[in-house]
Amino acid sequence: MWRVRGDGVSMERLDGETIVINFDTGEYFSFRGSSADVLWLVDSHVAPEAWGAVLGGSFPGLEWGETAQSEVDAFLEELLTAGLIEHTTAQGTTEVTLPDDYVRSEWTAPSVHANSDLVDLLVIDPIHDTSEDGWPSTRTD
Amino acid sequence: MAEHLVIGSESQGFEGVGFLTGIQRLVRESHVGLVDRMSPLGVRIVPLHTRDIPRQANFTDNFYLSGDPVIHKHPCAPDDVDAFLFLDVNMQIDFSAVHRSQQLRHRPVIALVHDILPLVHSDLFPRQEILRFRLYLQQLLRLADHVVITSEKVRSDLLGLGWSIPGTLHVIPLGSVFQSRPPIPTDTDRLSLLYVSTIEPRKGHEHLISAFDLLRAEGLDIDLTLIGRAGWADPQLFDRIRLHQDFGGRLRWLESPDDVLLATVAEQCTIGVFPSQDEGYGLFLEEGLALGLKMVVSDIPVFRERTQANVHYTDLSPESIANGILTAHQQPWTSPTVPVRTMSDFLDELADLVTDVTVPPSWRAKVSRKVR
Repeated sequence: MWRVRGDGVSMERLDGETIVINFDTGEYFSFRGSSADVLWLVDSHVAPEAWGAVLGGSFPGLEWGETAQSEVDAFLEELLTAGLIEHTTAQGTTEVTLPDDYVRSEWTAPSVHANSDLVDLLVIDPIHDTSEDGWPSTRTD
Repeated sequence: MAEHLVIGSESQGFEGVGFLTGIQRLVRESHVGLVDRMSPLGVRIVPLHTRDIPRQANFTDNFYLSGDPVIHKHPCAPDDVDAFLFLDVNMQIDFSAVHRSQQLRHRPVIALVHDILPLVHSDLFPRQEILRFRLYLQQLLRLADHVVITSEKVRSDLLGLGWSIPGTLHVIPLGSVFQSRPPIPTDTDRLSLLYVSTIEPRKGHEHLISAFDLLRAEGLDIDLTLIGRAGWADPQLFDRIRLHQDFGGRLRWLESPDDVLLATVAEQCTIGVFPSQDEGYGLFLEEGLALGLKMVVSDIPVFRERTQANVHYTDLSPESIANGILTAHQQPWTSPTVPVRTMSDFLDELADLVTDVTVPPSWRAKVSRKVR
């Protein structure tokens, strides 16, 4: 079993997009589609043996098998390396439904992409750095 | 126990601005009110800097902001404070630095969430702005032990996200900085409208100007004063105001007035208008009422929460706004039976909360005995 790290990580989902922030490294990660759904299964403490049925029943045309399983395993290893999840010996649940907050299409392998760290992203503050002419102009002084 | 309890109020973004929006005004008023109420308890409120970068002092350009009793003090790093206060909306806060400091010694974190409009009205904000705001909010909520919100509407919006919010939510409504007064009698029947708000798409300026045009076309003796700085509106909106045939005459735009000028302008007005699509609070409702105006406001939940005398609700179309203005104009101003809420009311409740979660009871009792 896996779980999202409780300390030092913030993970929230909105409109099908999950954003995970690692306070230790200052990095943030954005997940959509299958990536967001697998993370949701992790965060909801769903037993891994139930994942295939849940995902297979949610993504049109997905036949759960070794290929999909290895893609998910690789994704989990990446999440572990990024410091976002950890192992747990807790028992998981099997009663689960994925959130109905986006339209699922063809399955694509889940993947991890670290975004530029928060410092870089937040260099320009669109409120305080807006010029007297308003958005989208930014102050030049 | 240390001689003073030090509360760090995050001010790094605040120090870099030289203009006023509702948020800057609220931060400044909160600093004044908290220092006044908590200094006798031995509490020092100091600027909190989460980033080790050169200090900005743009706030000194603005007479009102430069009177803030906190930001002139020597700033402290997260390790140096006994509690954290996040009042501003500063998307450049280094929350990782706060988190690391909290790992060494946990201290109370109190955060004010003004609104979450970029998340509930994503159509009205640029995509990058929404992402920045989301990252800011997600981190703030993760670290806050106590989250102050100013309306039930924002509470509902926050809970509607379905996010994990470990802190306790406290609804503390804002209030007017102006003393309540009745309308100033005028010897004309002119319809003088006032709208105080940053100029942004959701604020309804387009509809309001169209309503103004409709009433002008009907031959009414009317004028409209807009007060507020340019926000992130489409430049076409600014052009519509500046190129309007009545601009500078019956249509005026004051971008950076102080409170004295605002109160003086309000004396010449009869109706405040607030046709916003949505607000976290919308302080001009209370401010307009306190300044003796009848208010015509959009029929949205956050304004319905504050139904009171002299408030008229309208749908958001030029025709409805024009009708709402006419209806309000024809009805007499009534003396309110319940006083308009004041900023002092807000600050009393905020100071009580901050005191409860930061000052140990034994210390409070000691001070209380001294005062007696």
